[in-house]
Amino acid sequence: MKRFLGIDVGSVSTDIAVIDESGNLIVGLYLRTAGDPIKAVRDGLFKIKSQFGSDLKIDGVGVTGSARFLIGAVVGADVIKNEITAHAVAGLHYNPKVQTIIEIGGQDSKIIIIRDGIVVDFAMNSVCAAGTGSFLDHQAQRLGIPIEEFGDVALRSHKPVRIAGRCTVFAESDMIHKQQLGHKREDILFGLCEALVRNYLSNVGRGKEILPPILFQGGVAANKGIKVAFERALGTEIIVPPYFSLMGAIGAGLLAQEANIKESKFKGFDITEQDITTKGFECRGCSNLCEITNVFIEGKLVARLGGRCGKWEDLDYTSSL
Amino acid sequence: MKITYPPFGDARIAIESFLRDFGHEVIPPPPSTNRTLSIGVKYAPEFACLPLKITLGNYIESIEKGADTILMLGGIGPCRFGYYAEVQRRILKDLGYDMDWIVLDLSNGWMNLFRSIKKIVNGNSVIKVIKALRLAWEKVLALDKIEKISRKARPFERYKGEVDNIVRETHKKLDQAGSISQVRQVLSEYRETMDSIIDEDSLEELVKIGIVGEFYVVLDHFTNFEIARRLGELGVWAENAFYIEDIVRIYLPLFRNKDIEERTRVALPYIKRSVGGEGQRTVAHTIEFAERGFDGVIHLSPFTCMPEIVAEGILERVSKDYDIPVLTLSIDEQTGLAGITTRIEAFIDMLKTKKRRRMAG
Repeated sequence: MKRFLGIDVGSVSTDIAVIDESGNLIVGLYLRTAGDPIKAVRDGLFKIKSQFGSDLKIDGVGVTGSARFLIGAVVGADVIKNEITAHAVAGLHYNPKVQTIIEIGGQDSKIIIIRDGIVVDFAMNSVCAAGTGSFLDHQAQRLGIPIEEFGDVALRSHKPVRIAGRCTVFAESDMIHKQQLGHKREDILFGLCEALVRNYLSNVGRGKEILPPILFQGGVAANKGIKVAFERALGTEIIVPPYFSLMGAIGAGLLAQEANIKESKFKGFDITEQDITTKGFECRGCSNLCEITNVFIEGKLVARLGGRCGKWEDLDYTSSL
Repeated sequence: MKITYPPFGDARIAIESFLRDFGHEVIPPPPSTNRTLSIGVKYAPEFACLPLKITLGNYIESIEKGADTILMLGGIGPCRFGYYAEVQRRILKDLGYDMDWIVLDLSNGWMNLFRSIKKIVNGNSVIKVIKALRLAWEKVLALDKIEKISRKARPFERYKGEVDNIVRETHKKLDQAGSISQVRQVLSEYRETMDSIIDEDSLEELVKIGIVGEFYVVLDHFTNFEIARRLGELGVWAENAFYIEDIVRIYLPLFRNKDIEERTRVALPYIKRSVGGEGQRTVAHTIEFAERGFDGVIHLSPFTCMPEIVAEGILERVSKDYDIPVLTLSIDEQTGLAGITTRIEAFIDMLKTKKRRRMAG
């Protein structure tokens, strides 16, 4: 059996999946990035290593998410792909008939439109993070509700209040206002869910033809309140795949599997015990002044990122350092 | 007189050699960097469009190098661009830089324009003026050809940065070229080098993207995050809807020709009149690319640019009617590179999959 490792390093969470060659999940991890993507990935790989032993053979590695280039260099990725493609691939694997994917993560929200099994259109939130996971986290915290219970509490609502959801700051002031008026917590929470869905559909989903089957992926899909609010707004069923929060990582793994890799560049699970450091400098070779990041494992330079020309890719190159 | 000018893209090379020919001491603006942008953003009004901010930064960096005169276009229209010179003049004045401005104002009467031109001409004879103009024009045409060919070659480059290196060397030679025949010589050497890189037989298999939008953002490599290079490295052949020549023809009446209006006509079913800037042309160019069988269009717009916002709304319909995917990227100082990279990569993945499926039958 062949095994593929998929890693999705996002702003809020780092997800790791090991899948077999048919795309079945062998192990999946959901960790907090907490501002240190390298540490999050090492922690994750360490857990996998402790569970399966360090001789677990990996036949290909795919990395996605906003830290994909850095992590790709650290772990030795065979495929480095953007989140949209990764989510689309995972969604299509789960349900080949899918026509719409709604993905809401920590700081991004996306819509992917699929017809006949290929992506035909997509959009991402552009100017504002209203309605993404970070905001929900923050509001749950403020109302003293663990984020895990957010959805259940919201679903107890019978008379949701209308919350202004265009902007997170205004949504928050509006929620406080509604609290001061004596509205129930669950009504405010479900009102917030509806506001976020409204905001998503009129910004990210603007002008898109949202047809079923619709998959709801990303960390926010855990929130049942948002799922129900989407179902009410669209008048159709929303499917939340069992591994909704790991779809990016699974997609990255599937991309590695599709790439037909002969020999993986994976550096192995040993990197969990090695010293990994980065150091940046500004290249003054031309007016571009690229910010170059050197990645070191055990003090040895393994990769350089950030150059627009090719000269720093040659690791022996040191002239104008 | 130490003269400087607002650079956009590679046009700087033609502008600089033109001014030099008239015996001016030219202070070329240092290449735009994040510092340029930071300076511009600091002193420009928040809601001004990005080109105003960047060029303001360019001026200040040139002033630091000793410039005391600024050459700029101005007047009514085509959009807020018409006010740039006056707004920038006042901002610089408030900052204590009392610059001498030569504004080619095409709407303020011939006398005004004549006075500005006289300053540029610098007492040179008519023959010399014509000669300098012809040489500068030849350089503009060469710059456009260099750019166009580089777009074709980048998907085939043998190592990262190969094409950029050749282009940079060619630009240096072009800057030094003192006659039309020298310009042509530089260009033909360049062509030969590029021909050895381009694999003509595989050209048809490349994903082809058209780039449309506001002219400064489309032509200035720093401003558009070097989109042409990024696309080339992803194996995409990206063509612009226009190059420097077209912009000169559009904005300088002396060079105007009928083709410009003729090309805009295809947009008429969607947008009957100009909405300022490149708005109407953006719609026309998108249709043009669709009809030429391109795989997709990337629409570049400076954040808060009204004409491009109007165009963006219309492009949704054009995209459906002509079945051509359009990706709009709105660019300003707040735009994160990560967001742009992700969108471009995903867009290309989408077009590649579509193309593969179409070619498979």
